[in-house]
Amino acid sequence: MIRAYFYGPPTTKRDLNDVYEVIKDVCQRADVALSTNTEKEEINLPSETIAEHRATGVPLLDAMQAILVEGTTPDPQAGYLLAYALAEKRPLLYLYSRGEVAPDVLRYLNLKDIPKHIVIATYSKDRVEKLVEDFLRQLGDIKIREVARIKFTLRLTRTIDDYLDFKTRNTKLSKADFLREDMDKRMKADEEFQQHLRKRRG
Amino acid sequence: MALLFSGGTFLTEKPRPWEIVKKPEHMRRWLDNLSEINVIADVEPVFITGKGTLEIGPEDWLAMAEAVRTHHQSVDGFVILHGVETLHYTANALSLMLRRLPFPVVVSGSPLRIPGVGVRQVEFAARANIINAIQVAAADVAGVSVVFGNRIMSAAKVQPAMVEGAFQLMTNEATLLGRVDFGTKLFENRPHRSHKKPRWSIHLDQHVFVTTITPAVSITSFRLALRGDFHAILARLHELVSLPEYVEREFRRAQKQGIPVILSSRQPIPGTEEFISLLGVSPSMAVVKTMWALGATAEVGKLRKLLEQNIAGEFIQPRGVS
Repeated sequence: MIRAYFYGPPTTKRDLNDVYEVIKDVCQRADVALSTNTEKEEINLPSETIAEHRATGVPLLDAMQAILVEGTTPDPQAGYLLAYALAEKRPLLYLYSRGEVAPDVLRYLNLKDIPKHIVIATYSKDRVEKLVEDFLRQLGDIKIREVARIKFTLRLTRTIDDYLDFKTRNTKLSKADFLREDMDKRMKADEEFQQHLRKRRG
Repeated sequence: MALLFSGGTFLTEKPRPWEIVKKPEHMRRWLDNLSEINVIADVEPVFITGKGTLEIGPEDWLAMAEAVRTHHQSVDGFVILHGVETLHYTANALSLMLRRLPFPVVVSGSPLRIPGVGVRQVEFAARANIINAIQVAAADVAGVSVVFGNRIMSAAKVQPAMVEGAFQLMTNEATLLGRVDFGTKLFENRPHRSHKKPRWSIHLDQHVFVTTITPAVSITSFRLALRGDFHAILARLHELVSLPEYVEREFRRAQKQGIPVILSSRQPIPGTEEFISLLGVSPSMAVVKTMWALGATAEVGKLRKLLEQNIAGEFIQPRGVS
């Protein structure tokens, strides 16, 4: 399981808090063990790891394989994490809201010389999810569970409904879950569709 | 931010000659190699010395303190880069000379190689340590502190320790000024920045004969000390609770010649009231405090008073090191 740290400057702005939630949600769906200042308990690490770091004097940040920063608002901690990631050659995603002035910390970086492990991106609210997903996928073989968000009205015959009742009886699956899982299996087995996906991703 | 170069510039385990700062002209190249620090501060380099860690001593401590006095009005804080092995001596000395500072002076440097840890990780630890130090020096903290690993410590209380075969700088956990977890977190007990005037006490008399009292210690060395140009004798008794009679006789003779004798120990030594007692400070602090006090006065009565006085929070609990 990948360990990551997400920093979002404390804010009362609803829009920013929504963005923080999206970032955390994607990490959760990717099974990333996320430590973040935006939760009451900042540290999400096993107690033995914390004890080991305390004893050896190694900062907890060193246990993180990736860092994510929402840096729209000027904040010294965001700059610190960027400097740390540059020094430690640690993957970092630095996000700031599209339409805002580029944060001061970025002025000190020669944008042409930014190493590959540092991703600096502007976002609109509907693109945050994709940006975080793409960043996490770069870290290795990470599978991100998709969320079923698209509503779809489907009229069924009584027989199909009986079948779904039969298949989901004594299981924890709902009929919708069963259908989604079944479609998922079909998609994975469909070589033609997989080829189409590969083409689309370039 | 002023960055004072006095060693501790190893960014890799085996740096090439041009990757460490030995001369003032090396500073710019070194800073270019660690350009990420520009993200957190505008750095003004100041060269102090290119000596190795073990060669750094009182003259260099004075030079560092003077550099702070010279530049303090043009910067927000200081980071002093230093080799780790003797960093605690420098930190202790600066804590006495630079008191009640309204701004931060952070001493830090490259950690020593940790057995079993790869070269790449050592390189990262050194870089991260310097970044952490700069972050602290830019924060709301004042006075002289030490940043090492995940600990932010009072310079007067820092001590060396070996942890799992690695050289560390530590302090009593209860006296930590802050900790580095995912960033620097400063604790409430830290001194804050202010507009107070600093109190400069930049003086050291390095003519101190330092000896450790052990069973069967040779008196020849004391006699040589009495003939030499020493202004005080500092005897460390950290493992003993009494003074051998023949040593006591030599010390009395020294005092009659006008050379004050200071006994540094964990607890009072019975029957030695005629000597100056220095209790409850670390071995390194005993040395630098004696030099500092002697630099302020040669009068035995005043010297005793200064050494007994809490100057920079240097008194530690007998079992204070965790």
